[in-house]
Amino acid sequence: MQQHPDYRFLVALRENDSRTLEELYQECSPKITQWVLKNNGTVADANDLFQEALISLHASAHRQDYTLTCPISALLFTICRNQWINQLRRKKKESEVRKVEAERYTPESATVSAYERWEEDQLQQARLDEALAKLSDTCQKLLRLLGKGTSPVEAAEKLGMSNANTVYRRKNACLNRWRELIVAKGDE
Amino acid sequence: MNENDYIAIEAYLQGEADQEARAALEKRATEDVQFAAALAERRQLNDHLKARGKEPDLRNTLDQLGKKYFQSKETTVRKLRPQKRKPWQRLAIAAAIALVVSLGITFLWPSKGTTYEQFAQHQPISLTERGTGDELASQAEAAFNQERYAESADLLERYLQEQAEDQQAKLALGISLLESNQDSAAVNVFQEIAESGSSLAPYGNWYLALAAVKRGKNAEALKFLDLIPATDTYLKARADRLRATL
Repeated sequence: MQQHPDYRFLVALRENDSRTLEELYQECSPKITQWVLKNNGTVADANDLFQEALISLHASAHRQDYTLTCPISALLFTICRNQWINQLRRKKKESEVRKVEAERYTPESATVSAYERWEEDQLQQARLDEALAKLSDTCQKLLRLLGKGTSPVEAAEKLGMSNANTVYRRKNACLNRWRELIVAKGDE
Repeated sequence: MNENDYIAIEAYLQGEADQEARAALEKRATEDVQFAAALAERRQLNDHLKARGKEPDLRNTLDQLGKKYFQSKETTVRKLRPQKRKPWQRLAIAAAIALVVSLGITFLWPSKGTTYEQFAQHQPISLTERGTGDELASQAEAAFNQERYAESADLLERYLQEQAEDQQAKLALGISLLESNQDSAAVNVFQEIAESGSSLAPYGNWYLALAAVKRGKNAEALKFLDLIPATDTYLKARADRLRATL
Protein backbone atom coordinates (compact mmCIF):
# COMPACT_ATOMS: atom_id res chain seq x y z
CA MET A 1 0.00 0.00 0.00
CA GLN A 2 1.23 3.43 -0.89
CA GLN A 3 1.64 6.13 1.74
CA HIS A 4 -0.77 9.06 1.43
CA PRO A 5 1.09 12.40 0.95
CA ASP A 6 -0.22 13.39 4.40
CA TYR A 7 2.15 10.82 5.88
CA ARG A 8 4.50 13.81 6.30
CA PHE A 9 2.31 14.83 9.25
CA LEU A 10 2.98 11.49 10.89
CA VAL A 11 6.69 12.07 10.39
CA ALA A 12 6.20 15.50 11.97
CA LEU A 13 4.51 13.86 14.97
CA ARG A 14 7.37 11.40 15.28
CA GLU A 15 9.97 14.15 15.04
CA ASN A 16 8.04 16.73 17.06
CA ASP A 17 8.21 19.19 14.13
CA SER A 18 6.06 22.06 15.36
CA ARG A 19 6.12 23.99 12.09
CA THR A 20 4.54 21.17 10.09
CA LEU A 21 2.17 20.34 12.92
CA GLU A 22 1.02 23.94 12.92
CA GLU A 23 -0.21 23.46 9.33
CA LEU A 24 -2.33 20.60 10.61
CA TYR A 25 -3.80 22.73 13.39
CA GLN A 26 -4.54 25.49 10.88
CA GLU A 27 -6.33 23.07 8.63
CA CYS A 28 -8.25 21.00 11.16
CA SER A 29 -9.01 23.18 14.20
CA PRO A 30 -11.89 25.23 12.67
CA LYS A 31 -13.90 22.20 11.55
CA ILE A 32 -13.37 20.24 14.75
CA THR A 33 -14.16 23.26 16.95
CA GLN A 34 -17.33 23.98 14.99
CA TRP A 35 -18.49 20.38 15.22
CA VAL A 36 -17.79 20.01 18.96
CA LEU A 37 -19.49 23.32 19.75
CA LYS A 38 -22.52 22.20 17.76
CA ASN A 39 -22.62 19.00 19.78
CA ASN A 40 -22.74 20.29 23.31
CA GLY A 41 -18.97 20.68 23.83
CA THR A 42 -16.61 23.58 24.37
CA VAL A 43 -13.54 24.86 22.59
CA ALA A 44 -11.46 23.27 25.36
CA ASP A 45 -13.15 19.92 24.64
CA ALA A 46 -12.28 20.31 20.95
CA ASN A 47 -8.66 21.05 21.85
CA ASP A 48 -8.47 18.00 24.13
CA LEU A 49 -10.00 15.69 21.54
CA PHE A 50 -7.69 16.89 18.80
CA GLN A 51 -4.58 16.67 20.96
CA GLU A 52 -5.38 13.15 22.16
CA ALA A 53 -6.13 12.06 18.58
CA LEU A 54 -2.68 13.30 17.55
CA ILE A 55 -1.01 11.61 20.51
CA SER A 56 -2.69 8.33 19.58
CA LEU A 57 -1.44 8.66 16.02
CA HIS A 58 2.01 9.53 17.33
CA ALA A 59 2.37 5.98 18.65
CA SER A 60 1.29 4.58 15.25
CA ALA A 61 3.75 6.93 13.55
CA HIS A 62 6.58 5.11 15.31
CA ARG A 63 5.63 1.83 13.73
CA GLN A 64 7.62 1.07 10.62
CA ASP A 65 4.77 -0.88 9.05
CA TYR A 66 2.14 1.84 9.51
CA THR A 67 0.60 3.06 6.27
CA LEU A 68 -1.63 6.12 6.05
CA THR A 69 -4.16 5.49 3.32
CA CYS A 70 -6.48 8.51 3.59
CA PRO A 71 -6.18 12.27 4.22
CA ILE A 72 -5.08 12.74 7.82
CA SER A 73 -7.71 15.46 8.42
CA ALA A 74 -10.49 12.96 7.60
CA LEU A 75 -9.01 10.37 9.95
CA LEU A 76 -8.52 12.92 12.74
CA PHE A 77 -12.07 14.19 12.36
CA THR A 78 -13.47 10.66 12.55
CA ILE A 79 -11.37 9.88 15.64
CA CYS A 80 -12.47 13.11 17.38
CA ARG A 81 -16.11 12.59 16.45
CA ASN A 82 -16.25 9.03 17.73
CA GLN A 83 -14.30 9.84 20.88
CA TRP A 84 -16.72 12.67 21.64
CA ILE A 85 -19.70 10.37 21.17
CA ASN A 86 -18.05 7.94 23.62
CA GLN A 87 -17.54 10.73 26.13
CA LEU A 88 -21.16 11.82 25.87
CA ARG A 89 -22.18 8.21 26.36
CA ARG A 90 -19.98 7.91 29.45
CA LYS A 91 -21.61 11.05 30.81
CA LYS A 92 -24.95 9.38 30.09
CA LYS A 93 -26.05 12.11 27.73
CA GLU A 94 -28.00 9.67 25.59
CA SER A 95 -30.25 12.27 24.02
CA GLU A 96 -27.21 14.16 22.73
CA VAL A 97 -25.66 10.93 21.47
CA ARG A 98 -28.81 10.20 19.51
CA LYS A 99 -28.76 13.73 18.09
CA VAL A 100 -25.13 13.37 16.97
CA GLU A 101 -25.69 9.95 15.51
CA ALA A 102 -28.82 11.03 13.69
CA GLU A 103 -26.81 13.52 11.68
CA ARG A 104 -25.72 12.12 8.36
CA TYR A 105 -22.04 11.34 8.33
CA THR A 106 -20.57 8.85 5.92
CA PRO A 107 -16.81 9.01 5.68
CA GLU A 108 -15.01 7.73 2.59
CA SER A 109 -14.31 4.00 2.66
CA ALA A 110 -10.55 4.69 2.89
CA THR A 111 -11.21 6.72 6.05
CA VAL A 112 -13.40 3.97 7.50
CA SER A 113 -10.69 1.35 7.05
CA ALA A 114 -8.01 3.73 8.37
CA TYR A 115 -10.19 4.32 11.42
CA GLU A 116 -10.68 0.60 11.96
CA ARG A 117 -6.93 0.08 11.86
CA TRP A 118 -6.53 2.95 14.29
CA GLU A 119 -8.94 1.22 16.68
CA GLU A 120 -6.93 -2.01 16.46
CA ASP A 121 -3.75 -0.05 17.10
CA GLN A 122 -5.27 1.53 20.18
CA LEU A 123 -6.17 -1.87 21.60
CA GLN A 124 -2.69 -3.17 20.90
CA GLN A 125 -1.06 -0.12 22.50
CA ALA A 126 -3.29 -0.47 25.55
CA ARG A 127 -2.23 -4.13 25.85
CA LEU A 128 1.45 -3.13 25.65
CA ASP A 129 1.01 -0.37 28.24
CA GLU A 130 -0.90 -2.60 30.60
CA ALA A 131 1.80 -5.29 30.50
CA LEU A 132 4.57 -2.68 30.75
CA ALA A 133 3.03 -1.34 33.94
CA LYS A 134 3.25 -4.82 35.50
CA LEU A 135 7.04 -5.07 35.08
CA SER A 136 9.36 -4.47 38.03
CA ASP A 137 10.29 -0.88 38.82
CA THR A 138 13.87 -1.46 37.65
CA CYS A 139 12.69 -2.88 34.33
CA GLN A 140 10.26 -0.01 33.80
CA LYS A 141 12.93 2.54 34.65
CA LEU A 142 15.45 0.93 32.32
CA LEU A 143 13.04 0.56 29.41
CA ARG A 144 11.72 4.10 29.76
CA LEU A 145 15.24 5.51 29.89
CA LEU A 146 16.23 3.65 26.73
CA GLY A 147 12.93 4.62 25.10
CA LYS A 148 13.76 8.28 25.67
CA GLY A 149 16.92 7.79 23.66
CA THR A 150 19.37 7.51 26.56
CA SER A 151 22.42 5.57 25.39
CA PRO A 152 23.14 2.20 27.04
CA VAL A 153 26.39 3.60 28.47
CA GLU A 154 24.55 6.51 30.07
CA ALA A 155 21.75 4.20 31.25
CA ALA A 156 24.38 1.95 32.87
CA GLU A 157 25.73 4.95 34.80
CA LYS A 158 22.30 6.16 35.86
CA LEU A 159 21.13 2.75 37.04
CA GLY A 160 24.39 1.68 38.66
CA MET A 161 25.07 -1.13 36.17
CA SER A 162 28.60 -2.06 35.25
CA ASN A 163 28.53 -1.44 31.47
CA ALA A 164 26.46 -1.26 28.28
CA ASN A 165 26.56 -5.04 27.91
CA THR A 166 24.87 -5.47 31.29
CA VAL A 167 22.24 -2.96 30.15
CA TYR A 168 21.56 -5.03 27.03
CA ARG A 169 21.31 -8.25 29.03
CA ARG A 170 19.01 -6.64 31.55
CA LYS A 171 16.96 -5.06 28.81
CA ASN A 172 16.65 -8.43 27.09
CA ALA A 173 15.40 -10.04 30.31
CA CYS A 174 12.88 -7.19 30.79
CA LEU A 175 11.64 -7.46 27.22
CA ASN A 176 11.22 -11.23 27.59
CA ARG A 177 9.16 -10.69 30.71
CA TRP A 178 7.15 -7.95 28.97
CA ARG A 179 6.44 -10.30 26.09
CA GLU A 180 5.33 -13.08 28.46
CA LEU A 181 2.88 -10.71 30.13
CA ILE A 182 1.47 -9.63 26.76
CA VAL A 183 1.02 -13.24 25.66
CA ALA A 184 -0.54 -14.20 29.01
CA LYS A 185 -3.02 -11.34 28.68
CA GLY A 186 -3.87 -12.45 25.14
CA ASP A 187 -4.59 -15.99 26.38
CA GLU A 188 -6.98 -14.84 29.12
CA MET B 1 17.58 -18.05 19.19
CA ASN B 2 19.81 -17.51 22.20
CA GLU B 3 20.47 -14.53 24.46
CA ASN B 4 23.29 -13.27 22.25
CA ASP B 5 20.94 -13.18 19.24
CA TYR B 6 18.52 -11.00 21.19
CA ILE B 7 21.33 -8.79 22.44
CA ALA B 8 22.51 -8.32 18.85
CA ILE B 9 18.95 -7.34 17.90
CA GLU B 10 18.77 -4.84 20.76
CA ALA B 11 22.07 -3.24 19.79
CA TYR B 12 20.81 -3.03 16.21
CA LEU B 13 17.50 -1.45 17.15
CA GLN B 14 19.20 0.90 19.58
CA GLY B 15 21.36 2.12 16.68
CA GLU B 16 24.52 0.98 18.45
CA ALA B 17 25.57 -1.86 16.11
CA ASP B 18 28.49 -1.17 13.76
CA GLN B 19 28.11 -1.37 10.01
CA GLU B 20 29.36 -4.94 9.76
CA ALA B 21 27.06 -6.20 12.50
CA ARG B 22 24.14 -4.35 10.92
CA ALA B 23 24.73 -5.91 7.52
CA ALA B 24 25.08 -9.40 9.05
CA LEU B 25 21.90 -9.01 11.03
CA GLU B 26 19.89 -7.72 8.06
CA LYS B 27 21.15 -10.60 5.94
CA ARG B 28 20.19 -13.15 8.59
CA ALA B 29 16.71 -11.65 8.85
CA THR B 30 16.15 -12.41 5.16
CA GLU B 31 17.27 -16.01 5.57
CA ASP B 32 16.10 -17.11 8.99
CA VAL B 33 12.32 -16.91 9.55
CA GLN B 34 12.55 -17.34 13.31
CA PHE B 35 15.15 -14.60 13.56
CA ALA B 36 13.07 -12.30 11.35
CA ALA B 37 10.03 -12.86 13.58
CA ALA B 38 12.07 -12.12 16.72
CA LEU B 39 13.41 -8.95 15.10
CA ALA B 40 9.89 -7.81 14.15
CA GLU B 41 8.60 -8.46 17.64
CA ARG B 42 11.46 -6.65 19.34
CA ARG B 43 11.07 -3.79 16.89
CA GLN B 44 7.44 -3.43 17.91
CA LEU B 45 8.33 -3.26 21.60
CA ASN B 46 11.15 -0.80 20.97
CA ASP B 47 8.95 1.40 18.76
CA HIS B 48 6.35 1.51 21.49
CA LEU B 49 8.95 2.50 24.09
CA LYS B 50 10.31 5.19 21.78
CA ALA B 51 6.82 6.60 21.21
CA ARG B 52 6.07 6.71 24.93
CA GLY B 53 9.48 8.24 25.62
CA LYS B 54 8.94 11.06 23.18
CA GLU B 55 5.33 11.73 24.14
CA PRO B 56 5.97 14.37 26.87
CA ASP B 57 7.91 16.62 24.45
CA LEU B 58 5.21 16.24 21.81
CA ARG B 59 2.55 17.13 24.39
CA ASN B 60 4.40 20.36 25.13
CA THR B 61 4.41 21.27 21.45
CA LEU B 62 0.73 20.40 21.06
CA ASP B 63 -0.18 22.36 24.20
CA GLN B 64 1.34 25.48 22.62
CA LEU B 65 -0.39 24.92 19.29
CA GLY B 66 -3.67 24.18 21.04
CA LYS B 67 -3.51 27.48 22.89
CA LYS B 68 -3.01 29.27 19.59
CA TYR B 69 -5.61 27.48 17.47
CA PHE B 70 -8.33 26.53 19.94
CA GLN B 71 -9.21 29.84 21.49
CA SER B 72 -12.63 30.55 22.87
CA LYS B 73 -13.96 33.72 21.20
CA GLU B 74 -15.81 34.70 24.36
CA THR B 75 -12.66 34.71 26.43
CA THR B 76 -10.19 36.01 23.89
CA VAL B 77 -12.11 39.21 23.12
CA ARG B 78 -12.55 39.93 26.79
CA LYS B 79 -9.14 39.06 28.19
CA LEU B 80 -8.04 40.74 31.37
CA ARG B 81 -5.07 42.29 29.71
CA PRO B 82 -5.68 44.51 26.68
CA GLN B 83 -4.17 43.07 23.56
CA LYS B 84 -1.23 44.83 21.94
CA ARG B 85 -2.57 47.27 19.41
CA LYS B 86 -1.10 48.73 16.28
CA PRO B 87 -0.21 52.46 16.32
CA TRP B 88 -3.24 53.46 14.24
CA GLN B 89 -5.49 51.54 16.61
CA ARG B 90 -3.95 53.31 19.59
CA LEU B 91 -4.56 56.68 17.90
CA ALA B 92 -8.15 55.71 17.17
CA ILE B 93 -8.67 54.65 20.78
CA ALA B 94 -7.07 57.85 22.08
CA ALA B 95 -9.31 59.88 19.78
CA ALA B 96 -12.36 57.95 20.92
CA ILE B 97 -11.47 58.51 24.58
CA ALA B 98 -10.93 62.22 23.93
CA LEU B 99 -14.32 62.39 22.24
CA VAL B 100 -16.02 60.61 25.12
CA VAL B 101 -14.39 62.97 27.61
CA SER B 102 -15.38 66.03 25.60
CA LEU B 103 -18.98 64.84 25.33
CA GLY B 104 -19.12 64.25 29.05
CA ILE B 105 -18.46 61.10 30.98
CA THR B 106 -21.94 60.86 32.41
CA PHE B 107 -23.41 60.20 28.99
CA LEU B 108 -21.82 56.75 28.89
CA TRP B 109 -21.57 56.01 32.54
CA PRO B 110 -24.41 54.61 34.66
CA SER B 111 -25.35 57.03 37.38
CA LYS B 112 -26.92 54.66 39.87
CA GLY B 113 -25.10 52.59 42.50
CA THR B 114 -22.05 53.48 44.58
CA THR B 115 -18.82 54.54 42.91
CA TYR B 116 -17.39 51.14 43.75
CA GLU B 117 -20.30 49.33 42.10
CA GLN B 118 -20.01 51.51 39.02
CA PHE B 119 -16.37 50.64 38.54
CA ALA B 120 -16.20 47.08 39.89
CA GLN B 121 -16.95 45.44 36.60
CA HIS B 122 -14.77 42.40 36.40
CA GLN B 123 -13.57 40.77 33.23
CA PRO B 124 -14.27 37.06 32.84
CA ILE B 125 -11.31 34.75 33.30
CA SER B 126 -10.09 31.81 31.26
CA LEU B 127 -8.02 29.31 33.25
CA THR B 128 -8.86 26.16 31.34
CA GLU B 129 -5.57 25.63 29.66
CA ARG B 130 -4.48 22.04 29.27
CA GLY B 131 -2.46 20.56 32.08
CA THR B 132 -2.76 19.67 35.71
CA GLY B 133 -5.70 20.72 37.81
CA ASP B 134 -7.94 21.13 34.80
CA GLU B 135 -11.18 20.12 36.49
CA LEU B 136 -10.53 22.55 39.34
CA ALA B 137 -9.61 25.27 36.85
CA SER B 138 -12.87 24.93 34.96
CA GLN B 139 -14.92 24.90 38.18
CA ALA B 140 -13.13 28.01 39.46
CA GLU B 141 -13.53 29.72 36.10
CA ALA B 142 -17.26 28.96 35.96
CA ALA B 143 -17.90 30.11 39.54
CA PHE B 144 -15.99 33.36 38.98
CA ASN B 145 -17.56 34.16 35.61
CA GLN B 146 -21.01 33.48 37.02
CA GLU B 147 -20.26 35.84 39.96
CA ARG B 148 -20.49 33.12 42.63
CA TYR B 149 -17.61 34.79 44.42
CA ALA B 150 -17.61 32.97 47.78
CA GLU B 151 -17.35 29.70 45.88
CA SER B 152 -14.78 30.99 43.37
CA ALA B 153 -12.59 32.31 46.25
CA ASP B 154 -12.43 28.82 47.72
CA LEU B 155 -11.83 27.09 44.36
CA LEU B 156 -9.18 29.60 43.28
CA GLU B 157 -7.31 29.20 46.54
CA ARG B 158 -7.14 25.46 45.89
CA TYR B 159 -6.20 25.99 42.25
CA LEU B 160 -3.39 28.34 43.26
CA GLN B 161 -1.92 25.71 45.55
CA GLU B 162 -1.09 23.81 42.35
CA GLN B 163 -0.55 26.75 40.01
CA ALA B 164 1.03 29.32 42.30
CA GLU B 165 2.43 31.36 39.42
CA ASP B 166 -0.91 31.94 37.68
CA GLN B 167 -1.29 35.71 38.12
CA GLN B 168 -4.68 35.78 36.41
CA ALA B 169 -6.04 33.27 38.92
CA LYS B 170 -4.48 35.27 41.75
CA LEU B 171 -6.17 38.44 40.55
CA ALA B 172 -9.48 36.59 40.28
CA LEU B 173 -8.97 35.34 43.85
CA GLY B 174 -8.44 38.94 45.05
CA ILE B 175 -11.62 40.04 43.27
CA SER B 176 -13.58 37.09 44.70
CA LEU B 177 -12.42 37.97 48.22
CA LEU B 178 -13.27 41.64 47.69
CA GLU B 179 -16.73 40.76 46.43
CA SER B 180 -17.26 38.40 49.37
CA ASN B 181 -16.42 41.26 51.74
CA GLN B 182 -13.12 39.80 52.87
CA ASP B 183 -11.50 43.13 52.11
CA SER B 184 -8.25 42.83 54.02
CA ALA B 185 -7.48 39.39 52.55
CA ALA B 186 -8.26 40.82 49.12
CA VAL B 187 -5.94 43.79 49.70
CA ASN B 188 -3.09 41.41 50.58
CA VAL B 189 -3.57 39.54 47.30
CA PHE B 190 -3.75 42.75 45.23
CA GLN B 191 -0.65 44.04 47.02
CA GLU B 192 1.26 40.91 45.97
CA ILE B 193 0.14 41.34 42.35
CA ALA B 194 1.02 45.05 42.34
CA GLU B 195 4.50 44.24 43.62
CA SER B 196 5.01 41.20 41.40
CA GLY B 197 6.36 43.08 38.40
CA SER B 198 4.16 40.88 36.20
CA SER B 199 2.10 42.18 33.33
CA LEU B 200 -0.92 42.24 35.65
CA ALA B 201 0.83 44.50 38.19
CA PRO B 202 -1.19 47.59 37.03
CA TYR B 203 -4.36 45.60 37.79
CA GLY B 204 -3.03 45.06 41.30
CA ASN B 205 -2.95 48.83 41.76
CA TRP B 206 -6.30 49.30 40.05
CA TYR B 207 -7.97 46.87 42.43
CA LEU B 208 -6.13 48.32 45.43
CA ALA B 209 -7.70 51.63 44.40
CA LEU B 210 -11.14 50.03 44.06
CA ALA B 211 -10.77 48.29 47.44
CA ALA B 212 -9.94 51.69 48.97
CA VAL B 213 -12.97 53.28 47.27
CA LYS B 214 -15.15 50.48 48.61
CA ARG B 215 -13.97 51.30 52.14
CA GLY B 216 -14.51 55.04 51.56
CA LYS B 217 -10.79 55.85 51.55
CA ASN B 218 -10.70 58.02 48.45
CA ALA B 219 -7.35 59.69 49.20
CA GLU B 220 -5.71 56.26 49.42
CA ALA B 221 -7.41 55.24 46.17
CA LEU B 222 -5.91 58.24 44.36
CA LYS B 223 -2.41 57.15 45.37
CA PHE B 224 -2.92 53.74 43.78
CA LEU B 225 -4.44 55.26 40.66
CA ASP B 226 -1.30 57.37 40.24
CA LEU B 227 0.74 54.14 40.03
CA ILE B 228 -1.06 52.93 36.91
CA PRO B 229 1.30 53.52 33.99
CA ALA B 230 0.17 55.65 31.05
CA THR B 231 1.42 52.94 28.72
CA ASP B 232 -1.51 50.79 29.79
CA THR B 233 -3.99 52.93 27.87
CA TYR B 234 -7.00 50.75 28.59
CA LEU B 235 -6.56 50.75 32.35
CA LYS B 236 -5.33 54.36 32.43
CA ALA B 237 -8.60 55.50 30.82
CA ARG B 238 -10.60 53.66 33.48
CA ALA B 239 -8.36 55.08 36.20
CA ASP B 240 -8.90 58.63 34.86
CA ARG B 241 -12.64 58.14 34.90
CA LEU B 242 -12.55 56.85 38.46
CA ARG B 243 -10.31 59.74 39.53
CA ALA B 244 -12.82 62.21 38.06
CA THR B 245 -15.57 60.86 40.30
CA LEU B 246 -13.58 60.93 43.56
